[in-house]
Amino acid sequence: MDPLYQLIAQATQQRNMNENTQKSNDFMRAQHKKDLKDKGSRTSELDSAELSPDLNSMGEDLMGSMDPDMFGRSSNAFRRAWEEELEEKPRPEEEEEGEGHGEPQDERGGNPAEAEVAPAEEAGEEEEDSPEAEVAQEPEPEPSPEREMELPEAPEGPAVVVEPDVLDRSQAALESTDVLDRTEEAAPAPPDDAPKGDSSFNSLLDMGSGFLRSDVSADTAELEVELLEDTLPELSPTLASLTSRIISGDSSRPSYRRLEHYLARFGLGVLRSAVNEKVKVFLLPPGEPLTAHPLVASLFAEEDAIEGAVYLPEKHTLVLEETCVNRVPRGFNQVVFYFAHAFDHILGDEGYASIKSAAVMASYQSCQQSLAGHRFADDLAGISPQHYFAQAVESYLSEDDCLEPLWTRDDLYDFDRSMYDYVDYLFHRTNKV
Amino acid sequence: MVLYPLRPVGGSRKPGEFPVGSVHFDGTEIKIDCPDRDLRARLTELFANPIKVRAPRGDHEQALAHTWETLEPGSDQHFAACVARLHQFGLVPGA
Repeated sequence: MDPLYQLIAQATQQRNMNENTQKSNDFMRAQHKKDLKDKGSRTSELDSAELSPDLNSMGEDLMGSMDPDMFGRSSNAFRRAWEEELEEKPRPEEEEEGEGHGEPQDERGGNPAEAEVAPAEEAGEEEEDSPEAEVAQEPEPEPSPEREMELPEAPEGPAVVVEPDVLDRSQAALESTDVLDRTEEAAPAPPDDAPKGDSSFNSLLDMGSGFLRSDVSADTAELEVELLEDTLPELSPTLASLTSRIISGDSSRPSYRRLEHYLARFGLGVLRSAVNEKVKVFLLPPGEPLTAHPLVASLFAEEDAIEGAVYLPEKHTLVLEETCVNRVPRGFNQVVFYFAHAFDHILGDEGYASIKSAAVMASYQSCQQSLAGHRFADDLAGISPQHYFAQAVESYLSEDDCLEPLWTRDDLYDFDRSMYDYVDYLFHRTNKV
Repeated sequence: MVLYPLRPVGGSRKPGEFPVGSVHFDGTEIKIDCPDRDLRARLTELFANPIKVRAPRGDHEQALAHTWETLEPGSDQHFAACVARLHQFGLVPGA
């Protein structure tokens, strides 16, 4: 036979084989795309019952099209499905040419010699249909609402200067006088087309509860108290008898019961000391201001605008408006704060114990000098050791029941540990816990 | 003033290692530098709005009381009061 004829015949056979291989690759690629599409639709409606009970093995959905030989053979179910899938696929090169390949052919065509013989056009198609191009052609996952919100915006500069118009806007907002109420009332209703996602996911750095809570309205706050009234547990008879000897007011009102629970936080020992020292807590009738009490009226004028509560050391008397009991405390619990003044006065015999206590004075001076690990809650707490002690007690006895608390028990623990330890010791000793 | 995040460590919180931004007040304007947009918006809202603080009334001998006073932006007292409340955002001022 002519060698030239043999060469032509070999080239023709080689071309046919390349074409068959290309067809096989195209079929496998189409099948792979179809499988990916099916898996994508399944992941959107994933049922927990469909998950593999074998937690040690990687599920088929997680494995995707990965070769189990490359990623371990832990998933037997996937391996079986993968092998069955390969067996079901027709093998044109085997049927037509009878050349048996024991191993499944690689998607890329595998044989470099074949790639060399392949025509330039086919090579070009091969490059276009390469797995990289395939990944690029796959539809991108639908972005989340948060991502949609972020994408259109241009990147902003790191520095933000509060412009004068911002200050003007804030001054205009000042006309409403109450910042906290303003933020609550001014909370606009979200538009219907606004993305309704998890509002808590605003930032990865969002770790605090936040300062401005626009989701709690005043009506909600009052309603919250009414709900709490029903869930208040019964006080023990001992505590109830002690509080009844301390509190003067209408015991039939819900605020009276609420006040009892506030005082009960101090414990039996403190309340016994208060009874022994003839401490009195006057709960004013609803709607009456503090100046309705004659002792307060003799000390303060209407213009002083004192709010909520006042402690009168000479009489060991605490006067309370009902609003500071039957509403959710805002910023701090006034009942606890001013009864802490009374507690301080009780401990001190003549005068306040806080200015006699070395522990309180040391912590107070450390806060004044801004030493590490010592901070005042606010300016009022730094006015005097008495205010400092009362704020520490209020923080220690707080039970996360305040709106926008100035200083919580955790804050006292984290930012003024020595005072926390002293107050903790003091209550344990006084109540003999 | 550099702001650090509060990180839970054991049973308490400690300032994180890396700052999240800074706040400066030069007596006339407040400059907030914070890459996190949401946090920057919240800081701007805090520092650009009036804030209510407790003001004492009375004295230790006769009566102890308080009232709420509103501080307007642009004053040292307002800036200090805002800084004192940064812990509510999970932040703590550094050096």
